[in-house]
Amino acid sequence: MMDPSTLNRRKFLSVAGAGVAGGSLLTMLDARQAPAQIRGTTLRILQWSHFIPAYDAWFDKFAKEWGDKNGVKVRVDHIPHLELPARMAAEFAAGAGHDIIHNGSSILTRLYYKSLVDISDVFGSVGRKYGGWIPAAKPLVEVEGRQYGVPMFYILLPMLYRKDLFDAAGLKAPDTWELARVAARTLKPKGHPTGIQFSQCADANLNWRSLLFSFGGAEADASGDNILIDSKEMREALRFAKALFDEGMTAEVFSWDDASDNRFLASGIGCWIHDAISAYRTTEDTNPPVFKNTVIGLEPAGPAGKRVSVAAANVYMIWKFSKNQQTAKEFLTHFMDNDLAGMTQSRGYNMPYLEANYKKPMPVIGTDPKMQILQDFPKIVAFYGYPGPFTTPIQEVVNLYVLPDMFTRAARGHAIEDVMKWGMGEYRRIYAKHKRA
Amino acid sequence: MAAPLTARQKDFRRHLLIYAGLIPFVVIAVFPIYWMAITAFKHESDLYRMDSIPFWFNLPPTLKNFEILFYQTNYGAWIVNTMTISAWVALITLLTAVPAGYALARLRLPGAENIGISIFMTYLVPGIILFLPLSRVVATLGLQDSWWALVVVYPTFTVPFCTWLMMGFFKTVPMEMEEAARVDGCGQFGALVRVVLPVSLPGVLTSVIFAFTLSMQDFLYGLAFVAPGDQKPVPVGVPTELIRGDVFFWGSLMGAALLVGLPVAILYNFFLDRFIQGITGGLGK
Repeated sequence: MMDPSTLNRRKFLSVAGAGVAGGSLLTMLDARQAPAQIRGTTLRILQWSHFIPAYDAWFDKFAKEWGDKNGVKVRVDHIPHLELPARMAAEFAAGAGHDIIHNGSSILTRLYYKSLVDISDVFGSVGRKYGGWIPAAKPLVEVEGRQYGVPMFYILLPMLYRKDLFDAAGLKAPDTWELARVAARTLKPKGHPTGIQFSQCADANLNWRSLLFSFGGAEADASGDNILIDSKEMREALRFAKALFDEGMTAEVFSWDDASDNRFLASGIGCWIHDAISAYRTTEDTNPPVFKNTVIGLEPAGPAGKRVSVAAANVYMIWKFSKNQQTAKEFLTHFMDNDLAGMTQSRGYNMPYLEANYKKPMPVIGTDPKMQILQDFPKIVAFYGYPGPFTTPIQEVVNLYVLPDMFTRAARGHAIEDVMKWGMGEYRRIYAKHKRA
Repeated sequence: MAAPLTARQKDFRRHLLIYAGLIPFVVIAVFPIYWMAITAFKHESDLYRMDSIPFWFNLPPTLKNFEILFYQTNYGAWIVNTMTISAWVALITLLTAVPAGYALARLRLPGAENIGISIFMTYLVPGIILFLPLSRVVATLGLQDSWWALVVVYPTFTVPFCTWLMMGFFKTVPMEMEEAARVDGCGQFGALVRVVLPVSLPGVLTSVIFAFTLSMQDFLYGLAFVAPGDQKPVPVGVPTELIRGDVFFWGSLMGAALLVGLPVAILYNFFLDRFIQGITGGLGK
């Protein structure tokens, strides 16, 4: 406590000023009113083109309305999600660009954190207000105990299967990977194979990790420093994938991209796919009978009953070169206050990271009988690097598609031990490079 | 024994063989355009019908894809941006590459050959490496997020190529023609404008076409330097609005490509002879 005898005018003003400022901030946060000093500033946001065009329209309007209310000129730009890293690299090199930048799937917090604003205050206050973040959220944005981003939503990749085909063949729902394999083996001869990308694309990175982690495998330990890929579980997952390909797929999966499984389902050929609900949603227009007969299933369990669903993370960050950092923070707080509105506008595509927003029934997915199962995913959701954080070496492993390449090699008939030797070599090389750096 | 073929029959057989040999190439060249055209007019549900022949319409053609293009995206603005950018780049390239090519080919500068090779080598540096340092240039000039940024950066790949092209072409023009012009009273510049350039017109046209089409097809620089929706060129705007996550709006995508690609292809055709002349003009020198 301060000794009153040492309290001079300057100290008094400092303490009183800090108190008034702190009090005002708390009052403003409580009243959701942005501070007056952001008036007259501009805010530029870069994000992906959402798969629901109406979401982009809503978001642009939402941001503009917030700007009008607070005297901020807001501009929202959209680019394809796979191009966000290239644009981010350009803005980093130029030291100029947008104030808020979106990372989708490939979360580059650890690569750029020295050029990003520490927004632990926003992360902390939003978390406290909404009952905390789900456990998988923090590692996406945290470096050395500080948070450099706000997780905004993630995209689930559940099982999407054709109930009519399953019922006609007397098959059980694909609640385990083994049942999914049996279904593919049974339905392929009837002209309805399955398919998962054995190629270099985002879905392959996500899907094969879901399989591996559900089989009990892991990429790295909880610290993120030690590679755990050399395991019995990884070998079992590779053997399983090889069998799944041989028995239930056709060779086209070697050339698939992220959209191929959408088309595969929409064509009415596929018996099941493991993909985002965009694949399911779009069949409503492209093939209504398929839409009617497609069911969303929980993540299939591995041999020991474990379920891990690897989701595509999406995060907002603020560049350090931004001249409008306070404005950006205020907007992110406002956006997170409207998290559930975003989920509604995205037709249930945007899954929240905030615990309070999991109260059932959740918007859209809680009221649609076929989508209600998605409410059970948050307990099993994980991201790249599981069970560790999404470290810089893992970012490179993901961007070089090392894990999908291992599964592809196995499917193409390489000996499992040769695949392991190659994959481990790649993981070790990448980890060693980053350790040296 | 069969009767020997008449000259007319021989000629017919020769042509038949030539056209038979050409057919596979024509199919390979034309099929993507045909596919693009029919997809642009197909209903979304028609694209996913596996029980019918995909090479023709199974449902009545529709203009819905073009409605999406023109009423739900900034397609009109993207076309204007692309054409304006390409025109500026073609002009800058012409103003730079013609004098540079002429100087390197005709003025007997020391080390001209090596300088020419060095200029061409810069064309070989891929954009994926250049876009990072160019980002700084664009930001310093204050052109970020304006299509003017592309007018500044595109000449980095059009000028080297066209300089090299013009060099080769100027070398084919006999020195005697230029000397005769100078004897008749032309200066160096007058000889270039009145004698060398007119006979080098195919080369100049080829440079313009190259500069124009190279500017039209760039994606990376457009992506890196221009983000606002109304400032984008077609190659960046189209995937932004019509590829959303893993959802592709195939009909509109094909329509967008068709509307831009077809007029350029037709225009190209008008100058085909001169273009071939321009491309082959510098050969052997």
